[in-house]
Parts: sequence; structure tokens; C-alpha cells
Amino acid sequence: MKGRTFLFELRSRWKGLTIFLIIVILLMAGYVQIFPSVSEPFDEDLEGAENIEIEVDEETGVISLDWGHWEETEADPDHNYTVLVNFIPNMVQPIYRNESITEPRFVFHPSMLLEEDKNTDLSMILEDEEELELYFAVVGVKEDSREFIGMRSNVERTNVFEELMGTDWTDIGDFIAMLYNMWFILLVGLYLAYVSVNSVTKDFEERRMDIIFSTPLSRRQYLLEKFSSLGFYTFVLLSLTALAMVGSVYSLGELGQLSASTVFLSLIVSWPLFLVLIAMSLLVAVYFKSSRTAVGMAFFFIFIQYAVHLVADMAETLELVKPYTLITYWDHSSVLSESVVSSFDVGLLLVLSVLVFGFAVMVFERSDIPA
Amino acid sequence: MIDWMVTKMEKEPVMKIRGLTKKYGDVIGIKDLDLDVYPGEIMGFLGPNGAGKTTTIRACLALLNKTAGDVKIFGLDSHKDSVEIRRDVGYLPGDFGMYPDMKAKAILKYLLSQSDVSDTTKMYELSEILDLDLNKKYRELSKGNRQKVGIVQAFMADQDLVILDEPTGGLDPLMQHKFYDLLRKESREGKTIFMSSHILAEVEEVCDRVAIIRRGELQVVEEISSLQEKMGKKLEVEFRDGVDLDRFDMQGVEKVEVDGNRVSMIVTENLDEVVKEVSKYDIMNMSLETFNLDQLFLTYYREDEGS
Repeated sequence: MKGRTFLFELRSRWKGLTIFLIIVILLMAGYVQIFPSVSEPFDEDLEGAENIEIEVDEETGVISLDWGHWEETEADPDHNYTVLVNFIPNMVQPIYRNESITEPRFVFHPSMLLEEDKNTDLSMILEDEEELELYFAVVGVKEDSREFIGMRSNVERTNVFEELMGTDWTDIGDFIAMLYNMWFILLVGLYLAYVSVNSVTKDFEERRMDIIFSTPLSRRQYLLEKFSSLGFYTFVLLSLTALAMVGSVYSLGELGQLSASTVFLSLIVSWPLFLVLIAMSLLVAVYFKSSRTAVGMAFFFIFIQYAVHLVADMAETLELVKPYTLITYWDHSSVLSESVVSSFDVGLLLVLSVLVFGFAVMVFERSDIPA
Repeated sequence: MIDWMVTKMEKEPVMKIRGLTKKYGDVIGIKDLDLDVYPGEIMGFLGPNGAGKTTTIRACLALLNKTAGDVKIFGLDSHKDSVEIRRDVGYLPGDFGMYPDMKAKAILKYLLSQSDVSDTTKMYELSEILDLDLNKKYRELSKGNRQKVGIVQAFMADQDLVILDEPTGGLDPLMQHKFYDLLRKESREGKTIFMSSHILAEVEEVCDRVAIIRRGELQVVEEISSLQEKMGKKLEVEFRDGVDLDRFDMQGVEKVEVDGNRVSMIVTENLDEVVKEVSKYDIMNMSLETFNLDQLFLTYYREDEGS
């Protein structure tokens, strides 16, 4: 009966599929929640950085600190000051200390470190480092009381993500695009490949094929219903994950930049890409008939696609290779930045998934079912 | 040939195999096989392990592509019309698995639904006959009980032709006899049964005809009874004194062997004349033994080993 295998697939796999769905939703929605912390400049994390002005002379390496404006608003002029210097923003064991500063300014040169060097490696560090990353802490002292004024660093940094990815992350759309590119495609792609391959190879390996095809079920119908059930599950997975992401973005108050439908669509347009991956997995499953080999081949295919796309993304000289990777045709960037869905890309992937599926059916129909 | 069999064989064969050949690369699985299975009969398909029984069955059911030949089941092409054919054919594979985490009942209902059959009456009837607990998960069942699940699924959709590949594997002797009774009952109800086996006794017990296959080639197709007749009887006589062996040189007497005063021979015809000739001497002991299928099979098997 038509549709029985479709329903059977969903019913027999619902537990595993639901667990994966929950994991994906939690990861995606949770990932969006870290956007505020990566989008804020790193310097703001140094306490009291706004109380100290810093100036670095690139030629001489002289660093001038000035906290006069703090003094005008916060304290009386009877203070003297202590300046602590270290390589890290922690002053428990500073590499330099000056406690006799009377004016609300301080001029520092790296050679001053050597004057009170207790660290034998310091001179080597000073010679090796082209630009020494230093942290300065200023403390006001009056009679017996101490008051922390602030910290600054001589190196202008925004955040670690910016240094790694070369983006300032002020746009949540870029942030979501990176999420898709970096691991969503791999996580969901590999899982779907694994489930798709096993949905067929397990029937071979557990010797069920003879029983299955003792019923009036054609091989084409068998594969079509497997393909449909996996495609349906993927659509549900993407829809629910997209809804969770919309909720997560909304909770950050960032929907001003993006509309809910844009966030939703950006994920849903990956469906045709995953249909191709499912069809490809079914093809290797009916060809190799062994879970281990077929899963290996499917994973290899996905990793190659992913690696080529990633490298081509970073190297302009490899731009020509990009059209040959499937991932290119999930154009989430256009959706996120311009709310435009490329019907060509979607259509191409849909046609490709039908072709690959048709090829899988042909291979299956022409091959022997091993006893 | 007995009358009821003549009637059956006048009908169009349910399964008609002509020149069926299956090669695996250069290795021949079965070669140029011709066989007819008639409606209502129980046909045994006998052969040692690796003779090509399973390959024949699976090629007929389009689980294997054929290299050459033609198979018609209910007049339809076994490969082009395989889906249509399977509506009317029950099949028990020789080696099969099912869904380990599902209850036997759920598995059987699922398979019934694939055949568009909603009536579960026969499923329950068969389970009761075979003493099968349908509420156990497949993984919890013993080998014998798993085989029972297979037998139930082969018969439960009440199809006209049932193909069984080594059906009694894993069944205890008591259950084997229940199964033979089931086969006879199904046959009486008009089902055609094609059953492979390497257990000679069961073919002899339940089958109307037998086809013997060896090294992928069909050796003989005969009714069980006429095959036994053709094979003749083994006469052993112990005489008081020596005898003139030339007296037994007559039509229908073969393989005359002498061991002292003991003489043995195979008699395929003229038994009456042979006994009269024997009676002219003083007889110490005498036995007349009908060949059974076991001996017939071993005859072929030994030839196989000899070759």
C-alpha cells in the first residue's frame, strides 16, 4: 500500500529524530544568544577604561596615560597615584609598579620595565615582540584609602571573533550567516546522511530485503517513500529550528535589523540542498549496500563539498571552484542581507535532487539484492 | 501417474521456468533450468547446499536479475510484472531478519498492510496452530519462533502460490509435523506450494513431486511415487548353496552382486519372474526393500562427489 513505508519510517525513527531536532534547536537558538557579547568591543570589558585616555607613540614606543578628567569629577587634588603594568589584565603580580605619581598622568617606556626587572626573560621578550601588549591599572591613593580608577591597554582590540573572522559582528545577519556556514551545514548534513544511508543499508544488513520485497512494493516506491519521509523530516527540522531562531533573535531585540520572515527563509532555503544530500546518501546506500562503506562515502562527499566551499570562500583565486560546490547554492547571505531568494539556486538544487534520486532508483532496480 | 495429478498437470502451470540461467561474473549459479509447477501441487525442490535452490527461487521472484531465460508466474513475466505477481505469491526466504524492536504482531500487521490486506484472521489462526506468541518483540524470540513468524507471514495473506525456501530450519520435530499438516491443509484448499529443502524425509512426506538440482542444473523432475517405482527394489537373498547367476540375466534386473552365498540385485521390472527363479533354490534369508528418496538423493549426491 502506498504511503506505508513513509509512515513506518517516521514512526520507527521518531525518537532519534526528535532528540536530534531538540539538540539542533537548542544549539541554534542558544548560539544566537551569544551575539551581544561578541558584538561589543573588547576594550569595554576593561573596567574603568573610560576614565583613562591613552596615547601611543608608534615610533618611540612611549605610552602616555592621562586620567585628569576623572580627577575633575571624582576626587580632590590631594591624591597621589599608583600605576601597575602587566602583560595580562591581572595585576596580582605586575611586572612594573610606580607608587610615587603625583600628577594625573604617566609616561611609560618599555625600557622602564628593565630598570626593575625581576624576570630574567623580560629582556628577551622585549627584543622579540614587535608590539608589546601591555595592560595598565591606575589606582588613586589618599592617606590610608585606595580607589581604583581604571585599566587600559596599549593595543587597540575589538574582540577575538573579529580577529579570527575579520568581521566586526555589528550585524546579526552576518553572525547568523557564519553560524550556517561554520557548523550547521556540517551538523545537519552529516546527521541526515547517516540516517538516510542507514535507513536502506540496515534493511540489507539485517536481511530484511527479501521479506520487504515479498510484498507488492516496487523498489522505486520503496526508495521514494524513504526519500519522502527523510525530506519531510528535514522540512520539519528546518521549520522548527527557524522558528526557534526567530524567537531567539526577537528576544535580543534585534529583529529591527532583520524581519522574522527573513530569518525563517534564510534557513528554509537550505531544504533543497539537504534533499540533494539525502538523495546522494540513498544512492551510495543502494550501490554499496553496507552501512560502513556507504556512510564513509557520504561523509567524504559532504566534507569535500564543505572544505572546497570554505577554502574557495577565503581564497579569491579559488573563486572559480565555488559554482561546483552544492553549498554555494544555499544563498543565505542574499536572504539575510537583501531578503531575496534566488529561484535559480533553489530550482537548480531541486532538479539535482530529482536527478540524483532517479539515478539511485535506476541503480537499485538493476542490482541484485544480496541474500 | 495418478489421476488427480494428471488433472492438475493438464492445467496451465502456475510457475513456468524456461532456460533460467544466473551467473555471478564467471561463476554459474544456475544453468538452463526448465521447470513447471502446477496449480494445487506441493512441489519439492531438493538439492545439497550450494546446488542453486535459493538462487532459483530468488531469480524467480526478481530479487536477482537473471542472466538468461524466462520465468512466468500466473502467466506474468517474473521481472517486468514482479509487483503484480507478488500480490498473489507468499514467500518465506531461507535466511531473513525482521525489525528487532517491534512486536511480532506489529511486524506482521505492517507486512499485511503492504499487501493491502486488512483481514488478520488468518494471521491469528496460523499463530495459534504454530503456538507463536505474537506479543513478543522479534529480538526476544528464539530461532525457532522467528522461523514461525516467517511461516506465518508467508501464508497470512492467503495467496495462491507460496514459495518456501528451507521452511523447517530451526523448528523442532513436533513443530515440523505441525508444519507438514499445515502444508497439506493449504494444498487441500487449493494453494500451490513450491518448497526447497535439503531434508529428504520432509520432501518425501509432504510433496507430490520433486525436482532435484545439482550444481545449478536440474537432474530430475518426477512424482515421488513414480520416482520410487523407477528406482526399483533391492532384492537380497542368502542361499544355502551357490547359484547360477546367469539365470538372473533378464530384463529389469541390474547390479547383480555376489558375496559368498549372498546375492543382491536391483529389480525395476519382472519382479514376478525373478522371485520364481529365486524360489528354485534353497533360501536361508531374503529381503525386498523399496528405495526411498534418501537413497535416490544420495545416488545423485555421490555422482556429484565422484565427478
